Parts: sequence; C-alpha cells; structure tokens
Amino acid sequence: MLIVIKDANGNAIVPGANDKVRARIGRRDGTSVLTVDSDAATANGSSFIKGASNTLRLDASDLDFEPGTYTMFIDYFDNADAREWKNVDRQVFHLEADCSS
Amino acid sequence: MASILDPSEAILELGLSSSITEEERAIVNQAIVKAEGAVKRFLRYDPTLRRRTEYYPRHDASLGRGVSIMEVSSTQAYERQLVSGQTSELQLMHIPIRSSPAMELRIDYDGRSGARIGSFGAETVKVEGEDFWANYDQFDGSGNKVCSDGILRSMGLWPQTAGTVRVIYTAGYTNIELRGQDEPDVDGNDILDASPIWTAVLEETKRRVEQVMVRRKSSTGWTAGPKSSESLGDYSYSIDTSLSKALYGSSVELMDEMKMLLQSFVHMGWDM
Repeated sequence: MLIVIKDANGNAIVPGANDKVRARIGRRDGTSVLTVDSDAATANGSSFIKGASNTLRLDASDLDFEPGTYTMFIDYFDNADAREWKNVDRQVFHLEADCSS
Repeated sequence: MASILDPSEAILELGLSSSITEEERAIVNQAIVKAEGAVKRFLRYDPTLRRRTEYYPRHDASLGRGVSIMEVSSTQAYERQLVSGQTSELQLMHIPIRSSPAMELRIDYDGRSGARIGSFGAETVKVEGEDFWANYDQFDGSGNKVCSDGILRSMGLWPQTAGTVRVIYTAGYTNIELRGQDEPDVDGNDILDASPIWTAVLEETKRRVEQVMVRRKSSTGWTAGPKSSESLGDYSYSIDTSLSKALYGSSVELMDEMKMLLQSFVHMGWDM
C-alpha cells in the first residue's frame, strides 16, 4: 500500500532522515491492535518504509486480530517540528475473516 | 474513552469510506456521542466493559425498628442506629457483572462512603463465595461466570445504612461481545452476544448523520431531502411525508425498532 502524505497545498511531504511515519490500526475505545512504524519492521515482517511514497506492508501474521472495521491512523513524526507524533490522516480499515480460520 | 462504536464502522455503512471530508467526519463523531447517549439512557447503564467502584446502599430504606451498634471514638462511646429493612440482595448499578477479574467487596458499618479516613480497611474485606456471591447465570466465551441481573447475594443480610458497602467490580461487554464475535469456551457451548447494542448504536448514528446531511446547505451526493416538488412562481412546495419520517425519525430519541433490539438488555433494577 503506497501512502503519500501531502501538505496543505497538496504537495507531497518527503520524510527526512530523522523523520518517521507510523500506521496504527485500532478503535477509539482502546489501544491499537497493530502498530507499524518506519523505525523497524515488526517481528512478523510488517513494515512502513518511508519515502516520497511511503510503503506500508502488512504481513498476514500480524492480522490475527478480530475481523471487522477499524480506523487506521497515519501519523508523522517531524523531527524539525516539536519532535512529536502528529496524526495526518485516518482511513477505514476492514479486516475480512479468513475462511480457513 | 469507553465507546461502543468506532467512527470507521459508521463511515463504512454511510458509504463515505473512500471520500469523507473533515466536516462529515465531525458530523459522524457527534452523531456517535448522541446515539450512544440515547442507547445508554434506554438501557439505564453504560454497557462498555469497565472496572467500577461503587458504594451501597444508595440510601437508607427506613427508620423503623432498627439495629444499633456501639462505637468508640477516643474518650466517647456512642450508639449508631442502623435502619431496618435489610435484605440478602444487593442490586448493583452496572450489568452484567463479570467474575474475572474478581470483584472486591468490603463492609464497614461506619464507612461513610469512603469519606472517613481509614474506612474500608483490610479487616473489612469479605470473601466471594463465602460471605457473598453474585447471581451468576451464564458463562462467557472465556469460561468466566457472568451475572446478568447485577444482583449480589449475601450470606446474611446486607447493611442498610447508606455507604457501608464498597464494591469494586467489572461489568459490561467486551468489544468482541458487542460485535457478536465471542468464540465458544472450552466446552464449545457458551458465548455472550451483545451485538444488538452495537447494532442499535450504529443504526441510530446513521439516522442522526442522515438528519444532518439533508439539512446542510450543500447536500451534494446525498438525497435532496424530503421535498417532492417545488415551484418558484407563486412559490410552493410539497413534502414527501414517508421520506421525511424516515429521515427525521419523528425526532424521537430511539426508533421503536431499536428499542425492541435493546429490550432484553435493559437494566430493570436500576434507573440512571
């Protein structure tokens, strides 16, 4: 999944060397069921590789939470601006039940 | 924040998942708050799973023939009268009571709802299964006991002086149970299904969002509203009453169909 983060003028933001991107999947009633950031891949291999087009890869082994509809939060860590995580977008994320499970 | 519905679940059902604006997202979020409030008021409790601390009884039942205990404070001894009308049943505010994590119950006849320093000390702890027990009537998918009516039974009679019983307990439904996704326990039989609550919140959220959408100045992509015809010369218009009723729901807090869905989850022993 390619994710382009844009500024208010519609121009793509390219994360710098010390910037980070993060995807959190969860619901507003609790903690996220899956968090993937550009620091390191998860133990199962999910990764979020930053660049002009940030590439989010979700490994099936990490998608072991209950099927259903969740919110995916896309966060951006701008090293030059307060050094904190900022939410830049939210998307509907739907996990379909696996017929083999 | 304890919540029944996630905004994305409503956004998906409203057909907005691919192109939602920030304004529409805000409308959905507000609608969820209002819909959850309406459902909670109808149920008379908050159905989300939470650990709660409460003091009972809530009020003195009567001051008829009562029981007295003697208390000593420094150099003074005084008599404290306990009201009569004791019972072996104590109705808790939130349901269903869950056996795990275990509840903690203490009885302090001078507890004063925890306001007195040193009240509800370690010596006031009561043991579940010996001194008291919940009216468990089923199991959840994890094999833990569930008490649907929220009644605690006592080996003797519960105190009747307000604020003398402190209960810390877990009540409500998990996210999985609210979405009807509870898996059977080890014997393959028991599940707890609270999906009618989630469904009611979802439907009431959609209704509230649709009410806002048809009233907006710009309703591109949505139904134009309940007007079935409009004429500029000698201005006139007519209203499609069936569509109007469907959209506005006659301004009721909950639709009748939702009340029917929720009926079996209403807390009959408590008023919020």
